[in-house]
Amino acid sequence: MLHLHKVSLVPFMLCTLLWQLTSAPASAATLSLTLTDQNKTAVEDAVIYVTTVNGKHVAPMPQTAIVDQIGEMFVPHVRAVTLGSRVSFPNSDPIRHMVYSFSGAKNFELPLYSGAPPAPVLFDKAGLVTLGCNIHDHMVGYILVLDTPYYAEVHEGKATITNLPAGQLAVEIWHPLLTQEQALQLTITVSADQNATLSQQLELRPERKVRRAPHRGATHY
Amino acid sequence: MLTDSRPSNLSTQTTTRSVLLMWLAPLLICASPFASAQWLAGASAETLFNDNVTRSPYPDHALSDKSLDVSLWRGYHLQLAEYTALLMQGSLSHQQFDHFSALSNTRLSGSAELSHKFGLGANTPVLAFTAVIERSLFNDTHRDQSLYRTSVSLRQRIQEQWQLAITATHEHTNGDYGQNIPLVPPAPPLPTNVWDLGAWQLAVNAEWDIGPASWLSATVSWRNGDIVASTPPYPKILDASSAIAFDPVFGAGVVAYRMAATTRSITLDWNHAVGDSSTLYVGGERQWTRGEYGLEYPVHIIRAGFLHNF
Repeated sequence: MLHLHKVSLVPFMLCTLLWQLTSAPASAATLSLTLTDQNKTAVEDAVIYVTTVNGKHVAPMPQTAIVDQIGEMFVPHVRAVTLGSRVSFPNSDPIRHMVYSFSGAKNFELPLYSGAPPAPVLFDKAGLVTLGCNIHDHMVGYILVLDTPYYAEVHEGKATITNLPAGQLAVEIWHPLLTQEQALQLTITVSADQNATLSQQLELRPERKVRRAPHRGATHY
Repeated sequence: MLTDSRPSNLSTQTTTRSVLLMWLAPLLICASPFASAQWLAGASAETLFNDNVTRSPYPDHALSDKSLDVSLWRGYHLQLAEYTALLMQGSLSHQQFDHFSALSNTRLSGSAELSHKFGLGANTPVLAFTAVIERSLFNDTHRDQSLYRTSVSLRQRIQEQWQLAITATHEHTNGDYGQNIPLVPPAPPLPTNVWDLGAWQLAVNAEWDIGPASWLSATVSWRNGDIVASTPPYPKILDASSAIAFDPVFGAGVVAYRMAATTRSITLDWNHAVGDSSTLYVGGERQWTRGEYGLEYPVHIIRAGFLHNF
């Protein structure tokens, strides 16, 4: 009751509650993933998400998210967001960056900046967005724009999706170094209140290292 | 009578001042209103074997040696505009030869590179203008010299796996030895400023990724300009030289001479990234130099090195 009273004061939270009432199951299930690569090493920077529930698409709510720039890297390296979300790109480095993407899901460019981010970027098309910095070509990051409310980012080989409806779930697991082009696709069935577990192994390519060209002096002739 | 008419001390002081200025420039700019510039620093060590340090056209006089070259460098990267950057670097290096220790040298250099990227993305071409001043002090002080080099290069990553660069370079070296260099009594009237050199060079470099942490680098270059070689004073050499002086580093009676020549070279290096900040490399170079009277000066170099960015 107290919760409902608070919601009535904020239209945005009312929308959120309405969405939860219409989409969240009465008895939610949980899916816990354990993810390793071919060397049995816990995988980082993967995303697990549910594309359909009992063959039906479930629309997500937009969010706000952050992709920082720290030590000439995008942090996190992989960020999953829902369709319609806005992402801001603060720059925590003492140098300027120039973030851009040529991806079909989002083509954008942020002018050279440091410190506080420019206005957040709207991601209104589902798909993979590859990020780059035009000053530091070795900087690469990814935003996976998902048309589903059910997803989780994988850290240290673990991820959990909560509030899942019971039924048959079409699940995909994606990682930027997957040897196959498409995300790994699975179908699992969960029942109400079930804490389902899933162990999966991915075939990953080795990560490309940053190149430091030899600094060669003059040849004396 | 041979003469060395060049003023030496003035040149030395001017070069030293120029190099120091290039080292100090980053500090001055750092205090300026430019924001968010980036300091860079690194160190490297390279061991090298040269089968013809004398650059002799005669196999009997081609002397080999190996050396260790260590270098420390500091750089300052300034993003002037969205697509334009200035990189200034200073480096201090020492090369220690194993047998011919007189060739061991210490170098202080400063460089400035102004680069412009023609748009957005890692595959966009970059045009760069570079100026380098380097002061080299040898154990054999006759070889002390100042190098001035300017170059323009265009580089582009063609695909993720490979990139290409083409560089045109002009360099000029001023030797600054004094009056004490021994002259060559029977020689024709040639100057003794052997280490005053000028040359143009065109180089094409390609880099191929051969793995997630390894890549090959190949460079083909054409150089047209002066070279220095050291051999006994054969008549053909005396005729072809534009400057000549005794070179006791390689034995009594040996002369160092300068002549115009063309050099083609091929360099091939295998590089391997170690961690996020270091590179290990092994490579070789073959130089074909052709001078007057069909004199050929073959040089083979094998090297291995390690560099680390702090």
